[in-house]
Amino acid sequence: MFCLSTYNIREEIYQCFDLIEVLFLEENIPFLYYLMSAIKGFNLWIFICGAFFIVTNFRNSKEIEFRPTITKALITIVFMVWSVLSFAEVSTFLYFDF
Amino acid sequence: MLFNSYIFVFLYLPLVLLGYYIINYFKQYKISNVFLVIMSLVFYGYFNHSYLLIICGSISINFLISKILQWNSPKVYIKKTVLVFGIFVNVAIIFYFKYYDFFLNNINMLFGKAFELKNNILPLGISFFTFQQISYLIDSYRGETGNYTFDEYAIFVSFFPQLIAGPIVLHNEVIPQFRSKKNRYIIPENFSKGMYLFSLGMFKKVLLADTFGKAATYGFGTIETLSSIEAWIVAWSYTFQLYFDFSGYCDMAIGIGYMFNIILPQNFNSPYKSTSITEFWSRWHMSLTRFLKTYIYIPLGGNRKGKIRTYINILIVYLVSGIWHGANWTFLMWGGGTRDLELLEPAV
Repeated sequence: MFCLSTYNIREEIYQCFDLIEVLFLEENIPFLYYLMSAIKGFNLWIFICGAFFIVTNFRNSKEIEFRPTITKALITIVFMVWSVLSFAEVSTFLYFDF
Repeated sequence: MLFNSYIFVFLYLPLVLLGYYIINYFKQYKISNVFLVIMSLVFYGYFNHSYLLIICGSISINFLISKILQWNSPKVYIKKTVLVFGIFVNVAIIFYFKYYDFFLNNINMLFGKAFELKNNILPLGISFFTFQQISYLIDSYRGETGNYTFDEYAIFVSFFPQLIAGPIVLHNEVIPQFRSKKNRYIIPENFSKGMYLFSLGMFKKVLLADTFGKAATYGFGTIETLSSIEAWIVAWSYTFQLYFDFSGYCDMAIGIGYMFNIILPQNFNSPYKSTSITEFWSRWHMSLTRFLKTYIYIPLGGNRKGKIRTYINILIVYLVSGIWHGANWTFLMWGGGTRDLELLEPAV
């Protein structure tokens, strides 16, 4: 693992990160489509880099000074609808095992 | 019932909120408490109704013991005996369901015996509500609890947002908020903040944690055949799955709390921003760390009894934390290893 002796990544791992919604955006936005075709496993790297950026840079939700605004309402709606539409594939929480 | 399920989002949560605020509108505060306890038990029993017996029994026994502890008995040893008995009962319950098979397995291996394993199904959230009640018993012994009624105590233990996976709340954080009359009516700002946090948490769980979870599950299933780079991807995926899963859950729990005007304690504070192990544990599962510090580390003497005792106390806390997470030697090793890393920290 540490010496990085083998570099191949199988398709099944790439496919784990191919969310339908993201694929839809990529197919309809030319720039994203170009990136997706040019970089193998674009979604996988976006997810990993994006997550790394979020966990090291974003403020914790308790630190956010909340004031109800139109933007926050829109974010709430988008997150809620997107999540609800993806319910079919959800799993239980890891902390339920403790 | 899962927070991220249709039945919870479209039926259970709206029904409970509606019922709770309607009853409070008519100033029937006692009934609204009972309603919330019943609905919390419905939430819990939805996973497996046989669990209800365990949680109801646990709440009743602990409430009874706490009442005995609150009596002004002049004899300290009586109170001490009752407290030890109370803690023993709680530990015995959790031991039976969580550690009995682990214990027997080790006896069988060590002495070549063949004791039959129970294969108990672990009741959900037992580690959380047991710790919560132990903290309450200790506070009762110390005379730090108020004269709470049974319905208030039952809400403190069973309030559904924190019942299954924390945060481990203290009585003085939750019960006074339920007692406050102004919290019994909808406060639009709290409600909108609750909705915002709930949807943010759901997004983290459903879209981020579960996506990383797919890669982690696939990777752990084919671990022998992974290439180096795949092993790294799987390791990162599990790291992020764990983060967004727990962070998402905490946001959802705190969000639902806000919808009821109940502010639950912070449980997660961007732990991957930590620059040391000590800082990491002050940011990850903060309510568990607080419990271990307040109810184990400090009563053991903390850092007040010399260097060696401090190291031993830290080791005990980490071993308890390890075994709390699961009945396996790997968890104990993880607890011990974390302690070693923390001790090595000043040298690095």
